[in-house]
Amino acid sequence: MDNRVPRKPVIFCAVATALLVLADLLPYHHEGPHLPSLYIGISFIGCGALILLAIIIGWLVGRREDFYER
Amino acid sequence: MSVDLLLSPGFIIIGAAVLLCLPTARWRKIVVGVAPLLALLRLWALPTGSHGTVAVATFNLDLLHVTATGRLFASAFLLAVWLGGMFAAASASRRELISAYVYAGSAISVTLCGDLITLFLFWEAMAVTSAVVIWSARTRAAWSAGMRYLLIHLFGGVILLAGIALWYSTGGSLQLGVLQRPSLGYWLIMAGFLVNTGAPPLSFWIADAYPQASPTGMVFLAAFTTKTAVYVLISYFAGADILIPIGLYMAIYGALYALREDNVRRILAYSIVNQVGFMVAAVGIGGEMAINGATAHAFAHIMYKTVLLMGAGSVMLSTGEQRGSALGGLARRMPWTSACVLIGAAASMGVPLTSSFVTKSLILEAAAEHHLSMVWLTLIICSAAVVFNAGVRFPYLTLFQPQQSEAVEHGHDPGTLSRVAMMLTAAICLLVGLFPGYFYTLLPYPSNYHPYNVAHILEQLQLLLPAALLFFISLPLTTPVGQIQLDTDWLLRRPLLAMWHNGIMRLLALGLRSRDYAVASLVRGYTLLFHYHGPRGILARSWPTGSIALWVALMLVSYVILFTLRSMDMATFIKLYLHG
Repeated sequence: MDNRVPRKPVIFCAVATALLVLADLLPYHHEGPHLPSLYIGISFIGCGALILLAIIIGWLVGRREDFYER
Repeated sequence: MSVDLLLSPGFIIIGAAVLLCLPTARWRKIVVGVAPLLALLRLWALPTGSHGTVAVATFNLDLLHVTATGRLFASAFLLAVWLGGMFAAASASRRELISAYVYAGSAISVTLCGDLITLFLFWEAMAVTSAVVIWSARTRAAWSAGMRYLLIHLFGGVILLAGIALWYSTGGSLQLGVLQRPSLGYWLIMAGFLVNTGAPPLSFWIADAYPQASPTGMVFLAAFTTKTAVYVLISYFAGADILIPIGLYMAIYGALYALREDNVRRILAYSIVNQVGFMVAAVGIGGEMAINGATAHAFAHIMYKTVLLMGAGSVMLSTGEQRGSALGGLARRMPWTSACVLIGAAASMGVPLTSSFVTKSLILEAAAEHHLSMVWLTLIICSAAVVFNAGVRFPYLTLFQPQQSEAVEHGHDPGTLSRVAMMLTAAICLLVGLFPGYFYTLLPYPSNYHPYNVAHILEQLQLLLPAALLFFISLPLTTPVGQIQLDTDWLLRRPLLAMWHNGIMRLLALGLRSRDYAVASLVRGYTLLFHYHGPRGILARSWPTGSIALWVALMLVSYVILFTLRSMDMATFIKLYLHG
């Protein structure tokens, strides 16, 4: 399997995220107090933690696919 | 039984299953295309409330009881069986279609019944018929997975029945309504329902069993069992706090396990656990907005998961592959499938203008409204993590990554009827997202929530795009090939199976030994009896008169001695004996 990081999707997502950071500075209407880029931070930290946890779980309980057939 | 009851939407679908026995494929297609629509019309013609009961022993079974929640769930099921049936009509076996229809009819009947006994009967019918849908794939793996699936669900059924019996014996009502008095029966009923949602520690069965079904079978399986369980949780346990952590665990579990999965249908199966987690948590939160959210999201989930599984099924039917590491590059070969899958994936992530954007936000809003900040935060993160399963991972591995194997070259869109079914399902995902106001009027409680505002749209995109960026960057780390993740099913498949086999063998051996011993004892006893009482036996002989006189004399002497001993005390006897 091709295990490289796909370039085009990464560039697209990075540019779109940067634009969203900028968009958050626009004076649109918020209900209640607003922390700019709060959701981007939550997404990065939360999903990063999930990826890390998934890698650890994979390392702990990952087995060959014929594990139950052997 | 009244005509109203006989024409219950669930019974119409079960009746259609009988018609599917017709030998002509053309007639089967007509039944598949018409019956669910008739049932849908019938459902919406029925006013809310009970439509008659049937007395069985001392119970009054409320076979048809329409509620706003039940009606929306039943509508989603009818749409799923209609579209799924159209998709499957060309390629599914007759056995699969018939069992899928009885399964769907039973699920619809669960959402339209008014008491726990009727619920239990249809609940068990669902378990058996869905196992037949899995077995219809006719592979060894499907057989084993179907057996494990049936074992888990029958176990859940036993718990549920015990709970209902205990609940009733302690004065609880069997009628439809939120159970109020926590007792052992209450907890057992809840546990029985939770088994079907894929709650811990039995979350594994969805990813274990569903992907072993045929490409068309999984389309049916994904729609009914888990969502029926969500419906009964809403009906009987709305506001039960314990459901919140259970739902959060499921949401995290689904996101984590999907991230390390190579099989695209297993990715979608984990995504089911992830999304049902949202609904279970919403039921736990309780309140009008949360229940509206759980109901609306169940409807949206049935639709977008159906279109995604139709896409996966089309890929599998044309290429014979379901490993992400062997797919890719199918977007140009399967343009209609790709377009529908993209709509389904967008709907699963909650991209604006799609169904999940207007349904999942009800649940998040309800968590915020109840000031459950940690619940809200966890759900927000899990909402972004949908990118890791159905949202981006599934379409990327299947359609957009570079071609990984030669099998992909056989990829093509499915036939017209299947394609139409897929497009209609995708259209429903868009319609719900485009016209949320109308959709909200179908929910159990009135809602004045407005999902479309600049802040909400931006926040949603701010959640999804960084998650997608992280997904692509970490792709080499999170794509194990030829690997599975062990789950709690390991206990069932290794130590418990070994114990079962050993136990059975030992019992058999013990049984054989006991049988041999019993037979040997019987033979010995008979030989002994024959020895003394047989024709030559000592007790069967005719004795001479002298022998008999001797025996009589001996008996008389014994009698005299015994009489003497009995009539004198022990001291006199000893004195007589010692002094003559």
